[in-house]
Amino acid sequence: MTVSFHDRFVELFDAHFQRLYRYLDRLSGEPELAADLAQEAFVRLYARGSLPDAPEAWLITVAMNLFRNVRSMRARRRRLLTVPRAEAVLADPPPSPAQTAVATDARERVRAALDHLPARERQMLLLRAEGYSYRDIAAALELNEASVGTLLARAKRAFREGCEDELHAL
Amino acid sequence: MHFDAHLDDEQIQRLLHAELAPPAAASARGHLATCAGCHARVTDAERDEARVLDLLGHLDHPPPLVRVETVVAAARAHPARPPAWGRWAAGILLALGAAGLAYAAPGSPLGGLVRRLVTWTDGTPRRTVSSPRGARIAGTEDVTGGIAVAPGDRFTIAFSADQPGGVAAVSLTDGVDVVVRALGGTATFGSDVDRLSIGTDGSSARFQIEIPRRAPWVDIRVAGRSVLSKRGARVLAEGERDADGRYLVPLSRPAP
Repeated sequence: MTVSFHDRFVELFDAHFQRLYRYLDRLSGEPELAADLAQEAFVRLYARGSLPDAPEAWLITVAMNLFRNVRSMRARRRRLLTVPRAEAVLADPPPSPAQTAVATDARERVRAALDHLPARERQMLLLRAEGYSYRDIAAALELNEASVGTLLARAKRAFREGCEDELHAL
Repeated sequence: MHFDAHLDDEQIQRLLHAELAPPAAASARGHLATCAGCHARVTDAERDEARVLDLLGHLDHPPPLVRVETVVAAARAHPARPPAWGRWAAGILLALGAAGLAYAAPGSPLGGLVRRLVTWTDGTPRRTVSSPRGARIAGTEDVTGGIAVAPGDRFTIAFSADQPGGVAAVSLTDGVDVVVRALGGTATFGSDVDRLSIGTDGSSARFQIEIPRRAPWVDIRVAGRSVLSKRGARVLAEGERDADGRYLVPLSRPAP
């Protein structure tokens, strides 16, 4: 039985939208922008009418190109959809002011450590954290796949040490 | 297979992430069973991995609620190409309007320029520019197709086949999109992330190509052969330049 493009797209969307969003959210620090870019990447994939050989790497590349365009032009081409935040989160009890302050501080310090990494190491770290394969990471970042593990080890080490420096600065 | 040597960073990371082929993974585990040093390094790497994932979790925001049906509807409502063409057409109308206002202004120097353009496009004493092979680049009155694409960091415009006598007039603009127009013939266009493919088999079309000056890296290829490359502000191109500074790039191989 032949699976239609639409069905394959839906399957891909269900499996990868959230992690593409989370990657872009962590990379940009802007959840609304991340949501827009992730959606736009999937919109373009559907408009393409067929799946590329490596759809996950294709989506990352498209999203990254969009991200760079947004950053360089400081304007969004098209704001697709206004999306609400997940309702499940609203069901949690609201954090206390002290909890909020601690969480904000930790986020800022992790963000600072991440921003200190070279762009390639930052992207690689975040992609791997979302479970992307070495093959997809290599394709998306134009790396030699055989050295992804070595570069990842270096990126993790630098990030962890950067975080420790930030936390010690408290 | 068995790892006699100690595991390096690449092997340890691949072991953690299930990226080693099964025989290599079995061999690595065999080595770990007999090497306390490597075993400790793998344990450290696992702890590092967990710590990094935990730290990255601090950056997360609640995920958006997006339904695939909404994305599909958006794709159908906003197909990839028409919006770019819409912007292009709107830009032309806006430019024509502005030019009209400027022309009407007393003492405007644009009169001469407009008369030149009218002479160029009215069909009688049409100005043509010859390429090295004599192909003609005319005005835009006979546009038969085209496409506008944001070029990103690297962009390749690939003509599928040699087109004997064909020529593309390439100009640098202050726009943001690469714009390709086919004139007086047919061509097919297909765009991907960093590539625009133009099918020209059997075509007699001429082409106008606009490349944003700010595009850092653009190549034009014909049947796999580079005919123009732009790296930053530097442009290397086959062919000559016309009076307007456009690069007249031949779309066929030079004569031997």
